[in-house]
Amino acid sequence: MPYTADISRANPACFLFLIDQSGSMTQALAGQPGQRKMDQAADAINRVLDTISQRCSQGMDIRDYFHIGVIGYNTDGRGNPLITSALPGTTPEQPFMLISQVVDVAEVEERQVKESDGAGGLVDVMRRFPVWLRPHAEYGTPMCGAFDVAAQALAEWVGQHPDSFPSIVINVSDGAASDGDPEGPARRIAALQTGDGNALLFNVHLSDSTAMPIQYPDGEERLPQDDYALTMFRMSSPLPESSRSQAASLDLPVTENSRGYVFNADMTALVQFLDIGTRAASNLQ
Amino acid sequence: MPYTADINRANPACFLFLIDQSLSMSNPLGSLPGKPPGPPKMNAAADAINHIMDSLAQRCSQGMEVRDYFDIGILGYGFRQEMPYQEIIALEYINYYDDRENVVQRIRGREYNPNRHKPVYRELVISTLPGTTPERPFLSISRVVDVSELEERKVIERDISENVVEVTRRFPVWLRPHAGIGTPVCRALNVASQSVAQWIQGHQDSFPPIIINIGDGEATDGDPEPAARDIMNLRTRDGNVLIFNCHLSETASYPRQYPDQEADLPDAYARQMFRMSSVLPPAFMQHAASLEIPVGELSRGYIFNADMVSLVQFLDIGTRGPSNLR
Repeated sequence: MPYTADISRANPACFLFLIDQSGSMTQALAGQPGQRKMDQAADAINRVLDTISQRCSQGMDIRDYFHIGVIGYNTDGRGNPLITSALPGTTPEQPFMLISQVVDVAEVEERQVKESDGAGGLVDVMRRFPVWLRPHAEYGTPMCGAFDVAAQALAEWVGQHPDSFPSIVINVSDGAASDGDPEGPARRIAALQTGDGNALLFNVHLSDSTAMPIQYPDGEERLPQDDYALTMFRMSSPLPESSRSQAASLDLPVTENSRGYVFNADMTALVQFLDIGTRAASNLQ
Repeated sequence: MPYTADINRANPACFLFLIDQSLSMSNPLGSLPGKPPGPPKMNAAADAINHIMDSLAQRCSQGMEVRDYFDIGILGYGFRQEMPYQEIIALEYINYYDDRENVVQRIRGREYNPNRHKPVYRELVISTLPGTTPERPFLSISRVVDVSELEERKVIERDISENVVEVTRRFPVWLRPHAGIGTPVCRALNVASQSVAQWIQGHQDSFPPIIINIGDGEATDGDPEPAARDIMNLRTRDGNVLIFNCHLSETASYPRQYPDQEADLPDAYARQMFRMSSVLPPAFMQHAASLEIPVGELSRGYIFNADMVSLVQFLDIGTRGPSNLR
């Protein structure tokens, strides 16, 4: 059965996050008035990287169960694609780092947050937030270009890890590709396979409208009459069993045909999506 | 301009807190995604109410004296009391017979038939401050301080060198967590409407009463919208009575705070609560803005999917309007 490989230091899993950094990401995210999509997306990515590193922690030791890459994509003012790898010392062609190195290169920010004081009041506390991705947003959305770069990097990774859990690509964007039809490049990603199955591509669409998110649809009929939503749905892989059970534990309705796709995501749906997507690889040995 | 009345001992302001005490209030309060779930909702509500009562008292304190700037009431709703079967039978007979003695005669000698006389519940609203009733729920703030019970609680604070520490402090308590059965919002609003109408008769020049409702679900006793509209139509010379609603979440979700259009809300229940909530007058809005909470001119006093932080802020914002204490 695919998507059941044990994840060990010899056979790590890999997560590649693709982040839309086009100009529209400066708009407010649904349900979070006054908060820009670019800030919320960066926050959510930083948070999930922190969570992944905690899943790998055994006491003081961080076990290298995962290889992580973070790629941002936008264009310059003339429409030339700008595809960048966010982790220091990496390139879009070689974007991956071991999770223990990822932890080492984090910049730690202290932020003052309000929390419950345990007795009906609030207290300002300083919390340390590891940061890898900084918010950025300008110009176009070269999603095809980003998928092509991802497919190349993943092909190399899969060649080196033929027995690993298949690669997981998580694409966070807020609009249609400005450089063509991304379905072809997406198929090239999904065609990459290890002995444990095909690479998984999950897509989340960030919304500035307050329409309810459509989460993990299991058929095209559940989507709005929207070409873009349809394309993204077709590009998204079915959720493996481990992701489905995580979604079910969050009371999200999922079926065997549910795809790793959320349309019109607000902040809650985005954070859940990253959690569900990265839970696909969960047999840590 | 409305909602600007000076608050003094002759013209106090009035807060009436309505607390849902239905069974689901014993479920844990949602928190942000990725954080562990909060305390039971009934504890969160009680803690937040006790905290705001204490801070209202502090706003009225001048040295050792507590000045009676505020009248305060707390109504809990969601109790159900099973009626004894004699009473059920009596109700049935009273439909047919006027003569009370006749009814009593007929009840005597009748056996209880569980099929015929299904359990009947009465949905109740109670007033939690000692010595008050649902019809007359208010105590002046100095009396409120007198009737508090003290309880030791662990609390997280920042000490003088800004370190976060857990300390034990004594807290005044007025409301204890409770979860009964049923969500009689209509009944609670009707009771609130009567008691507030009566309060207004004696306080025509006061800042309008503020009703703050904390709950987690839909009414089980009908459509509460008409009752809410009736309350919002009550007024003093300084403006209409205000209702603010806080919906406590069970999901790990970001709250929708102070929305300004109905269409933005995710379901029919949320849209109904939006319609039942007053627009935040400027004094309240300014306080929300000072807490860096985004609000606009049409923002309503309503939070959907509140977590503990937004609940505590909601009570703070909802009580900040009457601020010209003289």
